[in-house]
Amino acid sequence: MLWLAAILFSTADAARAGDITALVVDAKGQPLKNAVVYAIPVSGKVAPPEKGKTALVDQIRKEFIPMVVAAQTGTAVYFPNNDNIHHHVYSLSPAKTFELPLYLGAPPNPVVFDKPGIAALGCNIHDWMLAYVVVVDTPHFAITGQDGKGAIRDVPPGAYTLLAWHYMMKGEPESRAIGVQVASGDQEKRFALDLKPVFPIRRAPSLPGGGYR
Amino acid sequence: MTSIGRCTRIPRHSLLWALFFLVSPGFAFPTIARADWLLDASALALRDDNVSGAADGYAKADTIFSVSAAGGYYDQIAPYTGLAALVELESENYSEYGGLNTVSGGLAIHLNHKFGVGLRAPRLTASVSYRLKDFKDNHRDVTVFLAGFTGSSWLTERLKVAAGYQYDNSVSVNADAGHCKFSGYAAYLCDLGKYQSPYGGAGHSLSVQFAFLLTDADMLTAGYRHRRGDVAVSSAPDAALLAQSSALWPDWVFHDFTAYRIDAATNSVNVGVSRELARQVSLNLDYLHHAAEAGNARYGNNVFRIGIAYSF
Repeated sequence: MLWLAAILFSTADAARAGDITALVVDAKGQPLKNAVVYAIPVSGKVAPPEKGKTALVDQIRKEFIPMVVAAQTGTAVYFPNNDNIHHHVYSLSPAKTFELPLYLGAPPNPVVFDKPGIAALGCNIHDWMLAYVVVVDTPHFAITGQDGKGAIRDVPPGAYTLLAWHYMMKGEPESRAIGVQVASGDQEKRFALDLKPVFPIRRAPSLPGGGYR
Repeated sequence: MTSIGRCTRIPRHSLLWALFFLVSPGFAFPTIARADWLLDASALALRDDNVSGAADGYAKADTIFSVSAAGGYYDQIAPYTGLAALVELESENYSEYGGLNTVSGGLAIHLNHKFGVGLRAPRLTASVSYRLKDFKDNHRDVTVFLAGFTGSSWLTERLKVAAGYQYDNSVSVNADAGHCKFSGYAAYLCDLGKYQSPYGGAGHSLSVQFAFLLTDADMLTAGYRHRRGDVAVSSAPDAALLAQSSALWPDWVFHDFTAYRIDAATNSVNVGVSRELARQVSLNLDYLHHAAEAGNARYGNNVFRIGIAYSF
């Protein structure tokens, strides 16, 4: 009987979990791709990342794929190199400073991102390569697609602070935090972000020549 | 300069052999086979108001179409050091003065070292190249050797600066002393020791270049170069140029002109804009002004260029 009660309880609990769908747009209402939306429990009680949970930033044709990865604090992130040439991945960001010098294939160990924040990644050979690892203190996050929407699935009921980050946003995510009460059913929230210009290094050459060689 | 005027002929097939030796290690050694294959290409239209390199009043303008490609490989031989070896090819076609049409090919080696990690870590690149410039007017054919180094760094996220030094040495391929079998004025020039190809020479340049990102796709470029060394000037016969020149002979493209080699200080400025059309393709528009001074004589030209550049 106990096992039956446990199944019934967990099923009921899952039924009460809800989805949060966030739409992230710019000041003109245009959807923003690659924004990270995340929900932090107001209670501050957050489960540690699932054992074995990892994330991955690939390197393909001299570009990082994907450009934005979100991970819970403590997650191990792998940086496989699927090009047939060397890459030299680094981050100088305070959230995680590391360097994976000159490697092919998969580095022997992942990089554990052990504190929240934004880590901007680069390749020390190919200056235009750029990606972000967004480390958040919650397992409840999503990345927006072309339509600007990101769905955070199966959020346990409770009070949350919903935040959004985009690499072009002005200010900090906390300045646009939204309170959310999760119960059964879905929630839809909208973020309108003011953007600032950013200047990633171009891959296209100018005249005459240029580049890294 | 001691090599100027010597009867030098570079076998054309030697370039093909050089190309073979450059590329073949890529198939022989795994480390090079893993190298980063490179291809840069551009197609340009230029308007040059003084293709003759003449003093005011004698300038001839023309429109030039140019295509170029440089292919080879890059190998990161150490964590902060990379080596690129390239075969360079270029073709220039003049709308009006076909004798200036050029096909050139050669080899280039670039060794670069980055002093640290990150965008703002300075990079130092040493370069050498050697190419044959084959003009339709064979009298102009030269081999060109370049050697130099460039230091560069992103000072801010938007502003990159590069400064460098370059030595150039051109050697005429057709400096045939047989031309001195003349009588009259030509014989007089021979006696002066000046009747030889003016299309070679050497020079030293210092340059600084800036690139500023206007937006995430648009780049503004500007630069300045100072060169001290030989230039070839075509002009109507001129006593002052004759006195200044170290070599001269008739100009077979501008038939009433004489081509003189003179030692000059040349100042060049360039400004341009570059728009990223695709991740590896850009549209470029720029303007260059060259001003050469030798004694009281001044020679200059203005060049407008528009073109597409691609980098693999």
